[in-house]
This record gives sequence, C-alpha cells and structure tokens, in this order.
Amino acid sequence: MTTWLIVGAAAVASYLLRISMLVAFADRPVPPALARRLPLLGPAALGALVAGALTGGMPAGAGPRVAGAPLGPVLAVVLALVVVRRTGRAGHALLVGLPVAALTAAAGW
Amino acid sequence: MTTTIPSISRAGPTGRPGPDDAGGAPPDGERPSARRSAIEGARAIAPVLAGVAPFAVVIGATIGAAHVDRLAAWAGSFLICAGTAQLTAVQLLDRGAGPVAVVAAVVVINARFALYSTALARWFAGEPLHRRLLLAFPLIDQLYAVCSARFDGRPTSAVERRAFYGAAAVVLITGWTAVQGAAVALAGSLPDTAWLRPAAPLALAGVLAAGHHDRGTVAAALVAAAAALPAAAVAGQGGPVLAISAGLGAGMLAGRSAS
Repeated sequence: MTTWLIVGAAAVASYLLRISMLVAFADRPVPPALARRLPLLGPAALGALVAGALTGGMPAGAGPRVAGAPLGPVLAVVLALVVVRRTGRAGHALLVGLPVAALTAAAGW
Repeated sequence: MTTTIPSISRAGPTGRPGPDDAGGAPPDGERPSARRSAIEGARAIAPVLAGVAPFAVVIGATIGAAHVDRLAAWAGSFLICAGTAQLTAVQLLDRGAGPVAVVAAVVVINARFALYSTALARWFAGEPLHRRLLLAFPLIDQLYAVCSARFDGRPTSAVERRAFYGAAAVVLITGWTAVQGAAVALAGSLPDTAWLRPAAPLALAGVLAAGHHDRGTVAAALVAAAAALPAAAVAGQGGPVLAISAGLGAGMLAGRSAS
C-alpha cells in the first residue's frame, strides 16, 4: 500500500509539472518572448538527453572515452546523426547506429 | 489514454487564428487529414519506442529484483510516465527511502516537464482547458521531441496536431508499459541487454537530426550536449534542466547574431 501511495504522489507531482504552464497560460497566449525560445527547446532538450545518456547510461568499460562517454556509442551516435541528416529519416539512426555500437562494444570500446 | 477525435479549433499554435484552422462546420478534408496525421504520429514515434524499449526492459528487470510492490512499481510506467524518475523511485524504495525523499527526487528529475508544458500551451492554445489537461498527461521527452520536430518545422492545423500527438502518445505509452510489464514478469530469466543501451540515445539523435535546423537550433543542441556532463556534476538529477537552459541561452544568442 505504501508503494502505491508513493507512486501515486510521484505521479501527481509529475502531472502538476506537466500542466504548470498550461494552467499559467490558460486564458492568454504564450508571451512572444517565450514563444520565440520554444523552437529551441526541442533541440536543446534532445542535445542534453543524448549527451546525458551517453555519459551516464552506458555500460562501464575499460575502453577509450570521449568527454566522459565510451567511444563506441559516441561513434555510433555521430554516424547516426550524419546519416539521418542526409536521409531525413529518424529511423535510420537505429539501423545504422546499433550495429556500429555492437561492433565497437565487441572490440572493447 | 485515448486519442480525442478532433473538433474544430479556432486558434493556431500561437493562440491566434491559424491560417488552416477554420471555424464552423468541419471542412471536407478534416477527417482524412486527422487520420493521416495520426498515422504519421504513430510512424514517427515507432523508432523512438524501439529505442527506449531496452530502457523499459532495464526498469522492468529492476522492479522484478527489488523488494517493492511490483504491481505498484510497474504502474509507475503509465502513472509517472517518465523512465528515469520511475527507475530512481524504485531504487530509492528498494533501499528503504522515505516517501518525501522519493517524491522530491521525482520532482527534481521531472522539472524539465514544466519547460515542455510551455510548448504544449502553444501547440494546443485553441483547445478547451480540460482537453489540454488530458493531453498533458503523457507528455514525456520522446513525445515532446517528435512533436516538436513535426510542429515547429512546418505549419500544421489544430486537428493535425491533436491527431499526431494523440496517436504518438498512445503508441509510445502502450508500448512502453507493455515492454516494462513483460520485463517484470520475466525478471531473472532475461538475457543481458547491456549492448542495447545505446539504442535510447540513438533514437533521440535520430529525432534531433531529422528536425528542422538553423543556426539557433544547432547552437542550442550543441551547447546543451556539451553542458550535460558538467551540469550533472553541479546539479545532480537537476542537470538536464541546467543543460537545457544553457542550450536555450546559446540558441538565442546564435539566432540573434545570425539575424
């Protein structure tokens, strides 16, 4: 029961964060100064999340590292960025990147 | 969680009447447009779901091995609806942390949702409040990223945005919850999935690269990425918010110097 209550409280807190600005701007438009920044929010969030996952979410290994992240996954992400930029298909990132990540992991990177 | 079938909105993404948002009776092309957008949304989120599936397995396996109420911890997959926060909550509960510590950790980790909420207010400005409050429920990084790439890159109507967002949300949350549930049930007999961990950043990188880019967005992404590690060292679980803020500042500066 305690776990249910804590998960429920965490869910309510998360939901309140999700609706915070919706409620703040419920009856007025988002201010222009804020609206101008919004197209930057997606790329900024993605940049931070990709880098955060690379530095903190990869298996620990003894291989070479780049800025705190294992080299293999970094190479895979860079290659995926290049390929998707050329093809415009987000799904190609996994198709190209996962084999590279697997191969470099096998090589101890 | 259901996809609300569109009614007509009179407002565009800025809250003002949009060029393609008609008032009055539904235009002839509305339903096909909504259906097409829903299919696009489901397709756009599919590779991202594949990317986060290994993370769902990790969380499910952690729940399976933890000394917590498994059903309640798994329910966090659709109630908290945020992987990192859910995993942290499960680990803290397993270590015997108190309710305040667990909820506080979740709030810090999920603080970035307040930023995403601003975009939601803009995308769905013309919707009634109760519908916007419903649409906010599944708002999560991957959904935000996919929708941002779609909505900020080209003009969309309110109907298209709602259909795209709703379908993407249903696919993502259903898949995420199902994979986690399977991992909880199979915990202990799962093979090592460590080699799949790069899938999550790869899927997000794919969304990033496929989006519309100018000098400002490139600067925002690069600076946020560069700031992620030091921000985590300084702010711990609040690191992403700090890194995103740095990216926003850099993007504004770059955009201003370009113009």
